[in-house]
Amino acid sequence: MKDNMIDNELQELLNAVTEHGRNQRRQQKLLAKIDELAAAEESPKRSRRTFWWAATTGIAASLLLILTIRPKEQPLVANNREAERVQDTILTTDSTIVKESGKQLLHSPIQTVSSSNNSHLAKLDLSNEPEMQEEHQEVLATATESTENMTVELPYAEDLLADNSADSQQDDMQSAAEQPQMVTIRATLGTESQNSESLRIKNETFAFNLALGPKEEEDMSQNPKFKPLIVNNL
Amino acid sequence: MSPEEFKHIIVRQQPAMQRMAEAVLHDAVLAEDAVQEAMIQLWQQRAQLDMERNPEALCITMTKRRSIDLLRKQRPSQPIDQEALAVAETVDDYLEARYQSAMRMVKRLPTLQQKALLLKYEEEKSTEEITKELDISPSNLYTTLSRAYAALREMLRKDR
Repeated sequence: MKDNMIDNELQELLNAVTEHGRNQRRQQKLLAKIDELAAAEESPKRSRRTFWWAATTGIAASLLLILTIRPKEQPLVANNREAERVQDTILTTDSTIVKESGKQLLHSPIQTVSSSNNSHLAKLDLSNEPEMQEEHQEVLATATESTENMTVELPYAEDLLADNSADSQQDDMQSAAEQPQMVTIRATLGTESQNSESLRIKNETFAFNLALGPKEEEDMSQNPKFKPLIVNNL
Repeated sequence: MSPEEFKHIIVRQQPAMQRMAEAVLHDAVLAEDAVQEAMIQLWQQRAQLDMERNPEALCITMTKRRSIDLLRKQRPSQPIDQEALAVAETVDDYLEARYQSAMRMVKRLPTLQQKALLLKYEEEKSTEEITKELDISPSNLYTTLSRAYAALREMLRKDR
């Protein structure tokens, strides 16, 4: 009986040791969990701090960029307006445009503009009026002189050529596409240019055309009112 | 409250929390879960622990509530053993006292017997692990443990 009691007591002591060991392991788990909770609590703060730093830096850099680099395209707005005005002028004038692509003429030496806007304008017959014919020749000479050295690079020439639906022009188009896209536009004044107002407009047109560089030409090409004129003319 | 201060409270209160949870749930594994949930809740409310005069009592109360919640979820029909709860609240450091008493006796044993006993009972290692760690054969381990039991019985007999 006494031995049994001693055995029970010994078993209790050993159980206490076992329980203590288990508690030690549980405590280790709890401590690891506390570390996890502390880390989880710390990480959002860190990420938030990083986010604000990144956002502030980004905004500052954008402001700096906006302040230092100003848009240079502002004068083009005026050019575009001028281009629209000139285009309208051209549309109301019976002009003749001769187009060359490289060295080779694409379609015909002279093509008459047949815009829908000016189709109602009748050409004047000057054959029986020598004075007017002479005046017309002078104007024509002036215009040719003004425009003979005017070479405009049209990056969209290939597109313009593609728009030409005539089957007979396919070869010409291909050769033009292969060659450097240099198109010379030479405008001669229409027959109704006898009055001074018309001459003034045309002089302005030529002056404007001469002032245009390749970039401005490109910008003009994006004008929806300008492009169909050229396409129709070609 | 810093994480270190919180850890200190939890380490001190863990045995009592575990005992309380086991008294409610009658399951050591479920009790571990209840203690961990209570601990997480305490972590979230650790500012309250700062102001608490008796943070230990708050730990026990929270563990008791979490254990009852878990019991209701796991076994809704099982009644709460109020007697066991009362015992768990009163025994306090009973296990710790028993452990200290056992360790005083174990420390009087030879080193090999001490190590063998602690590996077997405290760390709950298997015979294979103990023989590998102590570099002895299983029969040697059996003999060592038998001698350790006999020595402890003798100590208990003398203490009476």
